[in-house]
Amino acid sequence: MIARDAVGVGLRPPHFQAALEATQEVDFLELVSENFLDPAGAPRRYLDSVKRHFPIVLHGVGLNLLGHAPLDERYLDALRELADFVDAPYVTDHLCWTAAHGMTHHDLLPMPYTEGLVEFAAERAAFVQERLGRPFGLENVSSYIEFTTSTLTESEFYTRVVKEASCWFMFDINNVFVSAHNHGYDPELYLDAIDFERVLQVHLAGHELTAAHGIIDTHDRAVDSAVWSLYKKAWQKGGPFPTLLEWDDKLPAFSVLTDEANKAKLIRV
Amino acid sequence: MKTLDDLEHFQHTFSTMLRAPLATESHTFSPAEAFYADELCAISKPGRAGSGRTRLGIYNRQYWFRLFSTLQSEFPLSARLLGFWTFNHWAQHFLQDAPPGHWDLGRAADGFFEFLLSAGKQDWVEGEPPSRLRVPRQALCEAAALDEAWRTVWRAPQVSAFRPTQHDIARLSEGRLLPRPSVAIVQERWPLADLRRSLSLHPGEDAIPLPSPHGQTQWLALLRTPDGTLELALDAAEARLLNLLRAHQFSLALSIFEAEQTASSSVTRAVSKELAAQVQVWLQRSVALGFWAGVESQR
Repeated sequence: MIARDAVGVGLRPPHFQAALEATQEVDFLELVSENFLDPAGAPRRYLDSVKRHFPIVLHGVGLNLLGHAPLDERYLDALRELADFVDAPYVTDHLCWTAAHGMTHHDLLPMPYTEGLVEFAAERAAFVQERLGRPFGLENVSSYIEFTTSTLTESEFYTRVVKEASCWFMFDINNVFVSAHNHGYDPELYLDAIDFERVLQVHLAGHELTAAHGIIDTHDRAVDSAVWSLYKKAWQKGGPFPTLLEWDDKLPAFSVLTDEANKAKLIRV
Repeated sequence: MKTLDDLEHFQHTFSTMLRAPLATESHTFSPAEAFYADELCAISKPGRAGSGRTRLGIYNRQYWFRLFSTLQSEFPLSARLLGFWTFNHWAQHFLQDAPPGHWDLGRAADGFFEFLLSAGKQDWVEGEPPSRLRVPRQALCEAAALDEAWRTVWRAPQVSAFRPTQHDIARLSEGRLLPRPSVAIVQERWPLADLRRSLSLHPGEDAIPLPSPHGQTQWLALLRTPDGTLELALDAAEARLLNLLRAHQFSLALSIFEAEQTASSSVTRAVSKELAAQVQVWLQRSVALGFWAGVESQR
């Protein structure tokens, strides 16, 4: 059970031991599902210990919801098995595509947002939720490109897919900020589109502002003050919701992560 | 995007752009913008940070650097001996022919060990010409083998250690000891395992110097334990015995070992007795350390 006002961090392999020694510093942990899908390898052994100390939720990067190919049944079976193993109250992944023609690109890739794609995505998201036997949340991705062939804005596409699938929002506030900056729209208008009663969890992360490419979603530093401001507005609009800090690159000590995540409790008062 | 065919076509075009090898003429890995399909560029909106083509390049570069970074962390010693510039060239060459197909990012490096072995033997070497590579081919092969062994040990399924019963011991001579998958045995002519452990002391991307070689080949066992991982130095004869036991029926392995040992020394009865005692010690140690998963009947 994750409390609605809970604060957590994404657990990455270098922090396994530190997390076990710091059981009081965060309310829950989020794991990248793909790191633990193999039931045989060493990561599962660590997970066996971690799950006794913290509630765990799963966040995937490889579902390929918007991919043209059929959803991978083996992947879904493994994900269900893992979710049962850690007793995850919910599972999340991204509203994007990640693979095509048998190749996995290991990136969260953009699409033109169209009416036809809403039905396709919603049908698949509903199927995944049913298959996992627990709430399934879709995350809005950060992006560096938009397409002239889109007939819907990202927020329109996102909210319609979640509604038609009767699934949930895994709402990434940093991603809203990154994409809004890169594409020149108002991030607060994005907040207005979200039904916060269907927000399973929000994400926060650090990003890098570059001269050549706009903002890159790097997850390698503390949360930007502008993202904290947007978080506060989201909280005022629709809180409480579980809050999760992602930090994937240039990992600092686990205590730095937990301190950064716990800033959320101070900022939203 | 009206039909599944449209979706597939878009993703095919985008995927091709993503996997376009990065250009290196400017001595950096740069997006290969000239090779992107015009039809994709035509629907890509320009923004405050450049044209549509330039923005596609962010994905192209990100795709490759994520994979470079993954291969660097899966083969950390090989990467630092080559230096990232050369290593990334090799990685790009490998991944063009073997793009990732598994949801586990780390498995993008599956097959890279074999590629490194063959790349080290070929005349073509991108990044640095062979004559300028500071690392001897043999050292590179051993470094790659060490990196690959750790990958294997880390990913190995959890299999209980073999604790032989009297019944097992009775049938051992006609059976074969099954190696535990979380144990590997490697050899090194240079102190590569030490170097690999100390990589964090050498931050950066340049090639690091290869230390002076050992006086003679050293052997190591790599193990995954309940508390983490372990490296153990092995006597050369002990390593030979363990490798024979991993490959052959128990009694055949012992026969080969004894024949080899007696051929390499002037054996007296006392030495032979001493060798038998030593074999017992090594066998007991290997069982105690959990080198084996069980005994397989050869009948």
